[in-house]
Amino acid sequence: MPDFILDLFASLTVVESLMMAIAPIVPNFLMGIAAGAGLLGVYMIVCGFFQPLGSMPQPIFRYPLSYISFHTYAFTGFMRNEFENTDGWGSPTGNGTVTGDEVLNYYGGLN
Amino acid sequence: MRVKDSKGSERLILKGITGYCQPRHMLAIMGPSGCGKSTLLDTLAGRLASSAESDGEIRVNGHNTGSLSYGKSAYVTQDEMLAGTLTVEETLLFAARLRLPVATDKMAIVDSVIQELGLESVRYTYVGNWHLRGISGGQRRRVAIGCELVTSPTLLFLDEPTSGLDSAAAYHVMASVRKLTEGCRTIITVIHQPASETFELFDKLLLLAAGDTVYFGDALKAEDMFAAAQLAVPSSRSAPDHFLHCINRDFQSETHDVERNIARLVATFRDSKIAEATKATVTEFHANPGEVYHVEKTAPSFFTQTGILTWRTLINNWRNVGTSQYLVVVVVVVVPHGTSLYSRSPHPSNPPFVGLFWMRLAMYIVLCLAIGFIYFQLGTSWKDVFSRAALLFFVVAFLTFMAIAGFPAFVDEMKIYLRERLNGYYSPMVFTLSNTFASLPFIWVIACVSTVCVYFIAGLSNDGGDVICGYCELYAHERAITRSLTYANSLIDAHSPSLTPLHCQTSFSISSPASPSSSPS
Repeated sequence: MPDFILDLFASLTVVESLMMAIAPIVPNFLMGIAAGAGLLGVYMIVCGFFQPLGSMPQPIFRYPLSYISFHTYAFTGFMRNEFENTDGWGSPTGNGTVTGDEVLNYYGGLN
Repeated sequence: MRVKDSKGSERLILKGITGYCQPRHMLAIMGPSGCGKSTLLDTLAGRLASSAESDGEIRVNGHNTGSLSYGKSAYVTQDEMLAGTLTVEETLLFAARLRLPVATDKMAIVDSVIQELGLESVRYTYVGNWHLRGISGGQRRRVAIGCELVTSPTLLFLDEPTSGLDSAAAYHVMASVRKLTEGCRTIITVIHQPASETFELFDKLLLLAAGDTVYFGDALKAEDMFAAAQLAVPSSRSAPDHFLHCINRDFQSETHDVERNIARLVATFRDSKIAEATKATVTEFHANPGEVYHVEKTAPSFFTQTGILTWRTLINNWRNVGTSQYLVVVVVVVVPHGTSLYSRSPHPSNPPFVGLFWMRLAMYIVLCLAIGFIYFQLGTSWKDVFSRAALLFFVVAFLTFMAIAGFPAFVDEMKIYLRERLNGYYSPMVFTLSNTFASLPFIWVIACVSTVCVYFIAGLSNDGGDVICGYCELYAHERAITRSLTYANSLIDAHSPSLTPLHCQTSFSISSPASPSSSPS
């Protein structure tokens, strides 16, 4: 749980900084909110949840967007915190179990 | 006297204006809108947009002293940007703390400023913003002026200190400004539409029409000049009203040939004895320069400033009002409201209020409880593995997304920063650092509370790998990048100081012997 808090704390500090960085560029606050929301939307889509990192188109999205997006790091952190070195997860075929590392592998090299 | 505007075409904003202002005097710059009075004030204070050029001379005590911006003179803008969540006393105290040495007795200075400006009755009242009821418009102007007075500047520029005020409030503001000149200060103010009793407070008057000097000299002798130009003040009209009426070319009328009026007035003034005397006086000032005008750097150290500004931002964040009043009920249940972090005295006249931070915290709690119960006690089946991933994504994406709620507050802070930067309060680095520090405790509380809400209800696993430290490093990098971006941006903003989109060159010469040390006090 401390890891969880740290990860969330770090994400929030980054996003606050990001908002502070947008504020001088787009001083009108309605425009700023629109710009911020759009940027965060792009960050979300490349973070590896909707489309596993490995299956993402490599130009633009995998490189460099998924590396610029702080969501990628935060999501990876949460996932590893949850699944790394664990075992006994239900298998998609219904027989036997899979390890946490296999889950992480599915999401495209999160480990 | 050539002028270029942004499109490359030339435009003349000010045409050879000569004037001066002495200690203990108040110079009023008047004229119809668009005549160049704000441009003149910006030029004098060294705040002209970088695209504009002026080829005149500005002398202080007979010396060329360079730009008077960044704290070398005090400049009070038209739209005073004050932190609405501070009381009048706190506002002035922070202005003093940021700019005066640690050892100074700031409370005594603030006391005297409050007294000088007649703010005793609202001392413990919040300045107020769109939500929080605060002090009146005239009082706000006086607080804005007071912020600059704490360093006891000798040169004071005021940009329309009375705009938007009724004639009585305008008079009281100008009367308290007038009193300031007794402390051997030189005050130059742009004003429009002064009532006649306000007008009587001015020593010197500079009347502009489309960049031409219509009149410069003793304010009370302007009437004589208008009479000499066959435009005597009718008994039914107050003198300042009449002056503006004669030279406002926006509204042409049959009874008034404004162009001819202006031409006649300019010609009359050019040939008058007053203009001659002005030139002689200015030449004399140049010939007998006084002491070099300089302002001692009194600001406390970088770290002290950062600490003080962090503290102020903390208070502001703590008290800042959220955007949705309808949800206040939720917050009141969760947290005690209206807690005062900093106060020397009780604030009897202020209603309790809920801070933006509390609003955000309440929203995080609601959202995290919702996530927790949607994904109630996840198991280990393959479906639940997906659900866990989805939950974690939601935590990453939407809890950070809610930081957008803080955006309007950032924009306000930027405006305050810009005003204070131009008046030389502190450097961009101090602003960037203190903003960072001030946000950390709030973010930490939000992170802890949110985690507690979601973690146990959803039944997240506790035996995952301990990998966060590596990622923290990545965050630090990302954070450093965004922060430096903020820093760079605040620099850029600070260096294009003119807030008006005016691109022009100006030419004039004004000498302003302003140092109190060179004149008897």
